[in-house]
Amino acid sequence: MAGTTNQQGAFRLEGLTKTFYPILPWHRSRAVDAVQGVDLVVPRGCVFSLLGPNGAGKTTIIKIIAGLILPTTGRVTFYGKDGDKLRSRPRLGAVLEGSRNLYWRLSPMENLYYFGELKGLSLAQIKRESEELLEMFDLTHKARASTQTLSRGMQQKVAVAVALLGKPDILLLDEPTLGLDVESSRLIQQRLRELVERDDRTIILTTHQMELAARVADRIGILSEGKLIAEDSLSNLVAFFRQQDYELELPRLEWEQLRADVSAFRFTEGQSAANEEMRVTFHLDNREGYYALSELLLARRPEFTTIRQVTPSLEDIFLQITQHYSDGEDGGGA
Amino acid sequence: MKRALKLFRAEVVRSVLLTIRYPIELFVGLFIMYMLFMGLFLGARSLVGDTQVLNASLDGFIISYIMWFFVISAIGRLAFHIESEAQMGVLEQIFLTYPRMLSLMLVRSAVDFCMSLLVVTVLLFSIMATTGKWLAIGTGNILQILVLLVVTVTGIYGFGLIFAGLALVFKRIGQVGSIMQFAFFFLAYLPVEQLTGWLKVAVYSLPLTLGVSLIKTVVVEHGSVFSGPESWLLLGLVINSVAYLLVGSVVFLICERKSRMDGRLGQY
Ligand SMILES: Nc1ncnc2c1ncn2[C@@H]1O[C@H](COP(=O)(O)OP(=O)(O)OP(=O)(O)O)[C@@H](O)[C@H]1O
Ligand SMILES: [Mg+2]
Repeated sequence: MAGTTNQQGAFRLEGLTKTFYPILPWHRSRAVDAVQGVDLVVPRGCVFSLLGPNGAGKTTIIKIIAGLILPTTGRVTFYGKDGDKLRSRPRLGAVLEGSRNLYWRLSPMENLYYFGELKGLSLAQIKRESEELLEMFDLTHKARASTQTLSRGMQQKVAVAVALLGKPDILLLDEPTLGLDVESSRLIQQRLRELVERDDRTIILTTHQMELAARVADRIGILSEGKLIAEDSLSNLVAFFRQQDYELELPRLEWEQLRADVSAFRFTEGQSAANEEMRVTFHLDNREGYYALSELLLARRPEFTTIRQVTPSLEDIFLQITQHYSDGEDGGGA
Repeated sequence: MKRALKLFRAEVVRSVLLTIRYPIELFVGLFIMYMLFMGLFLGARSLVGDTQVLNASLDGFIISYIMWFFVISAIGRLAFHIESEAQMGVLEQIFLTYPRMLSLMLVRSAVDFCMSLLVVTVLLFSIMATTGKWLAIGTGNILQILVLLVVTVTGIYGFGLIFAGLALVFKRIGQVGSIMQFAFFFLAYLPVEQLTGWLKVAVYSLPLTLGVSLIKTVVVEHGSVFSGPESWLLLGLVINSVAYLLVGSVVFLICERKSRMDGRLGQY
C-alpha cells in the first residue's frame, strides 16, 4: 500500500497545459500559453520547490493544483485519485497572494477562526492552534487588531498561519516569505521542515529566494516559459553542476602570460581578482571541455596555486539552467 | 448537516463582526432607505392631495417597499460582496478552503436573509411610526406572512445567484446590479392585480411580483393563502421560487466553472 502511494506520489501532474484566452472571442490571438505540458510527481513527505523567472507559470501551476484554475488539458491527481473529485481530495492549505488572502477588516484571530471553521476544524482545535501560531510568529499582541492596521510582513505571517492551521495534507505556498524579516523566514522554514519530517506532509513552494529553496527543499523544479526544464533532488543538481565547474587560482604574473589564451578559451566562464591572485572559472559541460582544459594547461604549464571543483550555489545552477535553456530556444528558432 | 451548521455559524459570526465593526454603513443604509420612503410618501401625498385615498392604499405601498429591500440585499449585497472579495483576493482562499461554492452561497443567502430581517423590522417600525399606518400583522396571520416571505425571498436570492455568478466572470457588474435593483423597484409597485391574460402570467413568472401580491392579500385584504383559491397561487409561488433557485444555481455553477477556466477567481 505504502509502495503504491509513494509511486503515485502525494500529487501528480500529467500533461498539464494552460492557455489563457481573453474574454472577448475576437481577441483570441492574444492568448497566453502559461503552462506547456508539465508532468510531475511529487512524493509524499517532501518539500518541492518550484523555481523560475517572472511569468514562467509558477503561480498558474499552484492554482491549478489548488483547483482555482482549470487546466486546458491534462490532470491533477492526489494520492492516485482525480483532483476534481472533491470527496477524495486531501485537505489543502495555501498561501496564494499572501496578505491579500485575508479579510482586512477582521482581526488575525477572527480570520483564523473563520477559515478554521471553513476547514471543518473544531473550535477547541482552532483556538489551540491559532494561539500557538500567533505566538510563534510573535503576533499575540496583534491578535485582536484589525488586519489592515498590521504591517505588510505581519499580514503575510497571518496568511501563512491561516495556511498552516489544521496541518493540511498538502501545502501550496506561493512566495510565502515575501517581505518577511530574516527571523520570521527562518521560523517558517523550520516549521515546514517539521511538518514534512514529523507529520509526513507534502509541500510545494515557489520563491525567488534561492537560499530559502536551498535550505528547505528536498527537490527542485525549474520552470521556464511554462515548461519544466529541470527536476531533481537538490543534492543531485549540486553534484551534477559540481562536476562541471572548475576554479583555477594563480598568481598575477602567471595570469598575465596566460591571459590571451584563457580569454579565447571557449569554456571560460569568468575571472576575478582575489588579493595577489587571479581566479578563473571554467564551465566544462561535456567531456570535450576536460580535454581542452588539460591541453591548455599542458601546453602552457602555468605555476598555478590551486585547481578545484566549485560547489555551485542554487543560484548559479538556476541561472545556468535557465540561461542555457533560453539560448537553446534562440538557437533553435534561428 | 453538521458541516452546514458550522458554515452557518462561521458566516453569522463573520457577517455580524463586519457589520458591528463598521456600523456606520448599516446606519447610513437604514437612514437612506427610510428617507427614500419618506420622500416617496410625502411626494405621493402632495400629488394625490387627498390623504384619505393615499391612506387607503398605504399598507400596500409599505409592503412593496419592504419587499424591495430584500431584493437590494439579495442582488446587491451578495453579488457586490463576491466582487469585492475577488478583488481583495480573499475569494481564492475561501474557495480553496471550501470548494463547494454554491453551498456556501446558499448558506450566505440564509444568513443575509436573517440579518436583513432584523434591519427590515427596524425600518418597518420606523415607517409605521412616522406614517401612523400600522400594518395588520398579528398572531392570526403571522405564520402566513412568514411562509410567504420565506418563499418569496428564496426566489429573490435564487435570482441573486445569477448576479453573484456574473460577478465571478465579469467582475465589474455593479452598474448592471444597480439598474436591476431599480427594475425591481418598478416590479414591486406594478399593479399586477389589474393586469389580465398573458401579461399577468408573464409578470407573475418574474421573481417578487407574485409574492408581493400574495402578502398584500393576507395583510391588506385579510385573505388567506392556506385555503381557498389563493392556495393555488401559493403553490404557484413555491414553483416560481424553486425554479429561480434552480436556474440561479445552474447559472452560478456555470459561471464558477467559466471563472476558473479564465483564472479569474482572483483579481487577475
Ligand atoms: N488569469 C490569467 N489570465 C490571463 N493570463 C494569465 C492569467 N494568469 C497568468 N497569466 C499569464 O500567464 C503567464 C504565467 O503567469 P504566472 O503568474 O503563472 O507566472 P509566475 O511564474 O508566477 O511569475 P512570477 O514570478 O512573476 O510570480 C504570464 O504570462 C501571465 O501573464
Ligand atoms: Mg507568481
